[in-house]
Amino acid sequence: MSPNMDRFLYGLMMISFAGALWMGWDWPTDARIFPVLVGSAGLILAICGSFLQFAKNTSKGLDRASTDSTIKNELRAFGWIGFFFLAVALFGFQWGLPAAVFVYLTLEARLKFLSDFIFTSACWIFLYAMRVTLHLPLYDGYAFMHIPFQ
Amino acid sequence: MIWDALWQGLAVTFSLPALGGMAIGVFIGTVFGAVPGLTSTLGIALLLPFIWGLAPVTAFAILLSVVASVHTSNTFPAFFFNVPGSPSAAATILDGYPMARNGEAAAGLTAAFLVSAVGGVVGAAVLLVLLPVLQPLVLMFASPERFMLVLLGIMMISLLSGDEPIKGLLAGLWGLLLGTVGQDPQLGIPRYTFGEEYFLEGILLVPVVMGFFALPEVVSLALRGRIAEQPSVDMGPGFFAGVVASFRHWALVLRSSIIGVIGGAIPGIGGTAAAFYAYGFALRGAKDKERFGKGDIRGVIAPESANNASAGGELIPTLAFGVPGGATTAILLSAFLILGITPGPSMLHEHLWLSFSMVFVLVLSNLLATAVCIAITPWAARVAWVRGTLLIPAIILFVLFGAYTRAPHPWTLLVTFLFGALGYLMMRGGWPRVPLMLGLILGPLAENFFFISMTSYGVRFLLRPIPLTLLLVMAVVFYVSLRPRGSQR
Repeated sequence: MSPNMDRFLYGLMMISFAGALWMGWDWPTDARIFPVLVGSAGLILAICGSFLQFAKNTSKGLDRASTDSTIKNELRAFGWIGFFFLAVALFGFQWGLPAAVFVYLTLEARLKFLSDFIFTSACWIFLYAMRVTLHLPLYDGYAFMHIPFQ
Repeated sequence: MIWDALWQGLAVTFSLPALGGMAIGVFIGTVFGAVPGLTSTLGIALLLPFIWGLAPVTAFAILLSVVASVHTSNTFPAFFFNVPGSPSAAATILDGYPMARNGEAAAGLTAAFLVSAVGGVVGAAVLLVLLPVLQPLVLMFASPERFMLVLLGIMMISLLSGDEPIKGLLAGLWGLLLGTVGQDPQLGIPRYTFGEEYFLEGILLVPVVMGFFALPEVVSLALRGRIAEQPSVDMGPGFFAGVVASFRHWALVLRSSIIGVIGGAIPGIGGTAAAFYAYGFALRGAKDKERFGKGDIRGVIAPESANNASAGGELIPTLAFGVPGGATTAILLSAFLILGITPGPSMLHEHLWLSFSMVFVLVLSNLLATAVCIAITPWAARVAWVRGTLLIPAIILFVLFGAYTRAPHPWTLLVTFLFGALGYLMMRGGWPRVPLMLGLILGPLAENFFFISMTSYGVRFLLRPIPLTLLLVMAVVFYVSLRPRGSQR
């Protein structure tokens, strides 16, 4: 457990609870009573928790920092997740997702082209089958919806 | 009259159309359970157009088999991908996924499937026995009682998850606060929506579940290389270990099944919350609590018994009062209307044979689903030793697909990603994630019950006998949990 992470999360919670209280203060009583009760309890608890955390850290010593390589690998993994999400946001499920799968398998998994092709095709077929048989409303992608290609 | 109806129900359940319906339902349900995002609610909703014109027995054989099979097969992705196949398996991932990582997938899955069958049968048996006598008990739980029950559930899970109760409580409160996003149920005022229409319905559960639990594991998997840390496993002993564990923990199975039935029977609580309650009770009753969350088979047995049993429990208010116990039974109500049957007291009189037939269908479909899932486990379990880089695209595909199909809007992508990042930060900081989820699931319900209680009784609702008792239980749980660890021993 990283104290830095704890501080960040306690801070995030304090801001969230305080923000929720501030935003909800002017609402009519019926609308605000529950969020204000929860927000107040949360804010008090977050302040107490962060003080306790601070006291514990001062008495126990220094942060157990992550190694540079771990952080680098985590960022790399999050980067790939972001890449998949971005591909779908831009080019939709039917084309963006198989394309992202192909790029990932080529660059990260380092598969041979034939395996890449099989996995990518499987992905495309799965999405196509789901869309056609179950009539699922899969996103078409920002690019296909807003940029005229013809 | 009751015996006539019982025999008639038994006879029609074993008729060829009903058995065929069950086979179809189990097949569809197993697939829907195994693919994250395809829930039993979606399954029966998609099947509704096809039951038009079918005999009621056949129609309910298909629909109830889907429900039973989804509750059973949703364990696969919980074990292999740390993604619940449907929300009711969310509690299973807490120990199911660590079991897969420890190379105990076969044992865990076998136990999960066996206790799922037991849970399903117990749920059906309770439905069979208690249907006529449960009416006063359900009616005893008005809004004040339900509000306190919801609070107790969130508090217990919050205090019992992780090493530091204060973090669990904060996560639970954060979940409750997130549950208030959207239109205020009383006045319709948009709260914390930032002017976005997408958030008017609140923060949708499936994208949050997908991002919050699955994406952090994608990062972990990328760092580790593969799901399992052991290179191979002998599937045979794993199977028998699962069978032995199921018998050894029979009391836990029975207790969790009863929790599942009760959770299902109280409208609004449902199988997901019941599974978390059962997990919380298993954790509370264990002498070696530190094993939970690291691949303890009891952490799989408890929620799996409960979520299958909840299907029977959910049918109790549906059949007796025409009040759905959860989302799935709400759609089942549509099936009743499509078939020209009015649920409610008539199900205990002129359609009593159909009620009995539904009980038998639940029993048979649970057993059939268990047999199918155990049969495919040896192959399914091998997924755990596939390279991480091959699994990651599949997991992200399921996450994106599952999240988007339940909430088709571009914002879903961002919400899923942000909750994924939050989930990873919490996991890395040692913050329990389950209380936040439970707060989010039960938040809207809690607010609704709170509002009705305040309107009807003012703050005096806390002085009613059941709320007062629950309040005392909460105080005791709070005191015991906040005591220093040393003094607890």
